[in-house]
Amino acid sequence: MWFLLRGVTWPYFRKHWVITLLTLAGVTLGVGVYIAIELSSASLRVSLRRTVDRIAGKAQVEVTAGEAGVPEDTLDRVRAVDGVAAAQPVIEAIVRPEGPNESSLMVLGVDFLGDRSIRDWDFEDQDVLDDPLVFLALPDSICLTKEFAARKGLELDGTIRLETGHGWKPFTVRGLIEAKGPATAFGGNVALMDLYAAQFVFARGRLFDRVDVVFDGKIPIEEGSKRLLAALGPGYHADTPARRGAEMEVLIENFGRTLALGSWQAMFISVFLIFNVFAVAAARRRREIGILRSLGVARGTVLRLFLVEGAIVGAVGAALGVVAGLVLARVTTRFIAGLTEMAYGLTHSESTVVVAPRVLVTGIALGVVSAVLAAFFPALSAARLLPVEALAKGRFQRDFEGTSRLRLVLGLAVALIAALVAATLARESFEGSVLGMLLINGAALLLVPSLIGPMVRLLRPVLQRVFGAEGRIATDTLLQAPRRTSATVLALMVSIGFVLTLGGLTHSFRRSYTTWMEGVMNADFYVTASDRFFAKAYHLPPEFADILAGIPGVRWVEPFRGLHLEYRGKRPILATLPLERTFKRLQMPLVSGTREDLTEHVAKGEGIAVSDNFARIFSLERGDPVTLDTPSGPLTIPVRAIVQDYSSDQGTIWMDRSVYLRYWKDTGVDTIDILLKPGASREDVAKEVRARLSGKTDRLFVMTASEMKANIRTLLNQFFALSYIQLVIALFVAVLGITNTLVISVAERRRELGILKALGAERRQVATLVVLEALGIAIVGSLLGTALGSYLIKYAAETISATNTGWVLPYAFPFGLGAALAPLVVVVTVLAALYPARVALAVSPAEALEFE
Amino acid sequence: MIAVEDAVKIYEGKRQVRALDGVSLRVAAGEMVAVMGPSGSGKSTLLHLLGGLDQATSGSVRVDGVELTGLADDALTRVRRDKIGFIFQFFNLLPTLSAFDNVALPMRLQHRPAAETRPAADKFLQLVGLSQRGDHLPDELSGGECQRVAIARALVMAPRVLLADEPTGNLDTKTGGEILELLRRINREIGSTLVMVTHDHGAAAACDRVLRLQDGRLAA
Repeated sequence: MWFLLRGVTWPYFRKHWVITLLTLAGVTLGVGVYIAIELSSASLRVSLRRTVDRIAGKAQVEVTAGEAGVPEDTLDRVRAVDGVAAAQPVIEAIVRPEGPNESSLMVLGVDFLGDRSIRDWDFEDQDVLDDPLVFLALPDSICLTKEFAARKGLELDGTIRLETGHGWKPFTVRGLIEAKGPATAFGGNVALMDLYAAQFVFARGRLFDRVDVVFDGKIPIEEGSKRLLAALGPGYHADTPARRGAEMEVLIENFGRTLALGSWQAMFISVFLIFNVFAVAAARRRREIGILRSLGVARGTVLRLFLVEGAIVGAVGAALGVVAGLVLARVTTRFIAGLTEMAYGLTHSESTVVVAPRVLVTGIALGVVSAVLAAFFPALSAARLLPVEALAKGRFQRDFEGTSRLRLVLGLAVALIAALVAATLARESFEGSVLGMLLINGAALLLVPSLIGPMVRLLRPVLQRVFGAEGRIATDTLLQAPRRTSATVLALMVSIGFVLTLGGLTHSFRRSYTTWMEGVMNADFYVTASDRFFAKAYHLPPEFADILAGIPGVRWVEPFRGLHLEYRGKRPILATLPLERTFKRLQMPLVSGTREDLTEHVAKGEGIAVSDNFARIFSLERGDPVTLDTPSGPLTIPVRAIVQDYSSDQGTIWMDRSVYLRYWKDTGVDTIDILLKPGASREDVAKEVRARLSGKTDRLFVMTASEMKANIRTLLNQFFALSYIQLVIALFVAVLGITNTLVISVAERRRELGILKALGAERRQVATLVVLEALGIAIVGSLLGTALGSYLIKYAAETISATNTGWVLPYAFPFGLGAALAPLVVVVTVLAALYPARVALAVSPAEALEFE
Repeated sequence: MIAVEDAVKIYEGKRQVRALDGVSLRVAAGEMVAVMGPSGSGKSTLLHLLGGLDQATSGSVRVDGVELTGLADDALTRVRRDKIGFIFQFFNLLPTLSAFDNVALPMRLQHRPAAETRPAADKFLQLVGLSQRGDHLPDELSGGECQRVAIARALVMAPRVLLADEPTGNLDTKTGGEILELLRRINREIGSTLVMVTHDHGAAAACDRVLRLQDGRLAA
């Protein structure tokens, strides 16, 4: 085998080094994208876990009551539980220090007198803890890790400005912590403050974020947790730090899998490229195979030779993919970190890539297995060749074309399975819906080749009319080599289909979201403490609502409080407002229920309204009860209406503020919506808002609806950047596919090109031929891709979107993208044809004609 | 019509091969000349130089008054297109084109109008006796018929010189005889200058003159 690889395989691949490189690039891209996304996801999970573990210190259990926080009196109730050795309250805020490109800082508000019972803070040569009262007496005191302080060039008594709930505030460094234990969490970007100072600075009111608990040695954790929950009552959680970390990890994992679609698509197409290359190799090496077979080389050896070649291509491509993946992971990790922070409020210390061997091994295995699978059928054809056939002079092509009938039968079978999956599994899980999409692509790949010939024939008179003999010869060449033509047309079809599907989904979501936003964002002003609707660190005091209501020209105000809830493994948004007024102005399409349900029952606290995706994710219907954990115990409340709502991919619950205040005991406000009286001057009111709140807060954003919408659109665009990255990958793969096929085509047609040159075809004509061939492929591939994409948009909007986010999106073909894609594909195709055209020009007619 | 002066062709590689070593010859207009010689004697190389498919390393190759040595690729292409017709041992028809389209191909490459192309292709198909087979693909034709199509294609641009590389080498004796007869007739009727490389003594005997190559040199 080694002899054959060295003597037969290596010279072939060396001779066709461009094709070899392009094939490797396909595998590299697929494996690289897979590894980058998986590593990013794994790295962020590890980063979260480390932070949670290290900050937890000795804490065995963390007592929480949802995002709103734990009331102060809970602390005494926890401490009173039998078996609790220590209980310490914590405020945890991620803030941005002043300066460009500063990484976030995790500020912990702790009780300096008692926190060492949970966390081992190491203050060296400082007298902070010897006289903590000095520290506490000065509310601007902060401790930084030595590492962070050194990075910022700060020393003791230096000043650092942080963005707080009351705007940018200066803090004085009054302690430096050694980078040990909890101080190594969040990449060492940790700061300590006094608990009550933090409570004020981060507008927590009379709440803590959690209480960390250590039991005495005799009590098992499960038993301790049970006792805590029994003592505190419903609405509280007593989870181990690991469990809290695991819940957050699931969110990142879910996010990563959407991105993973891009890598699967790249892999899918690279398999295709490998198949194409090996099919051509089997045809071109026909004589070699014949000679080997006539010299006694067994069929099995020929089969193994091709499979080993596939494995080598896969392994080398995958090895390069590992390198590419590691580089790419640095970018994707930052990207996913930013998006998960925006979507779910998960903050990450750094975007360091953790190299997980499992991911690398899986990536390599994926590359090798895909390549071997792709090489299998060409290998089988080569092995089945009879020596006498292989040695016969003449045409190579036709003996290797698979029987179209078998392909059709297979295609129909796959289409049938796809239909079954689409009707069952695809509606139940994300994985099922992706499987359905792959099967639809598979069925198209098997069935569509029968259409390519007729389509090229239709194209022939057009190209002949426009480009003369070159047009005709180019289309004839495409017809002459159906396998080669099909491979590229199909690769292009799948790429364009994928691009259009993503584009369609994005377009549909953007359109739905915009329509929804226009109906919902119809207040005149929004006053917030953050540039978002709600942020954990920054709240407005409730009295602001009353102050603003008193401004002349203001018709009414609506205080909004939003938070992420923990509900059946997801993190839906709880949106609370005085709904009696809100529902009168919001134009949210009702999916189930009546307007009266909203304005009468939900607004009076007799039920909740939920978003359509919430209802779908949790299989709820109108009238079903929902039980929410609240600091006052479980709240079971019926769903009175289902509305179309695009606030969160985890679902949204609309609840009247009165119910929220009663159960959550949280008076904080994130946004105050202001509605003006008819004829009131917007400028005057805006001026008055600022004047009345002046001096009361340093963190104030007063935005009009259109400013708020623009703000949200910017955030939305960051999400869509995901889709655009995938679009670029898909296009890149398509370019690889076309270039690969054209190079193969030119290599296969040296003799033909030689004849044309001998007959007097000019250089320009030869180059035109190659470009026209590419154009023909581009036209047919684009038409088929558009057809496939048109269907997949519908499929994806109804299944992939529904299983991933709960939203069934309306069908929307991205005409803009389609219009942009058409010239782009032509340009890309012509560019892809440049190298093969150069190769074609270099063909010497004398040499080409000698070849037989 | 053809004048070769001290033509040398050296192929560079791991080992330098002197394929032609100072060949000089003249072929008059309308003459039919056979080139014979053992394998590796330089027959095909000579034909390639005469046809502008390749260039001499040194020396002079003139066809119809045009010096081919040192000519740029595009200019060589024009010489091939306008002055030379090729007939190959393995026909070299484009398999996707019908017999008619193969014959019409050189004219189409020059974007000649259909009004000119069609009658010319019909005329030469008729000349080679295949006027009824114009719609057939090469696959559907016999070897002899394919070679006739190749001859018609070589003639369609009315070249001053016809170069044939073993035109009967891939045919049985009877068909080969028919093709030779056809070539002789064309030479007589159209007056094309014909240079034919062949191993076949019968074919050579049909020519006006026989040139013998040995180790890249013309034998006396």
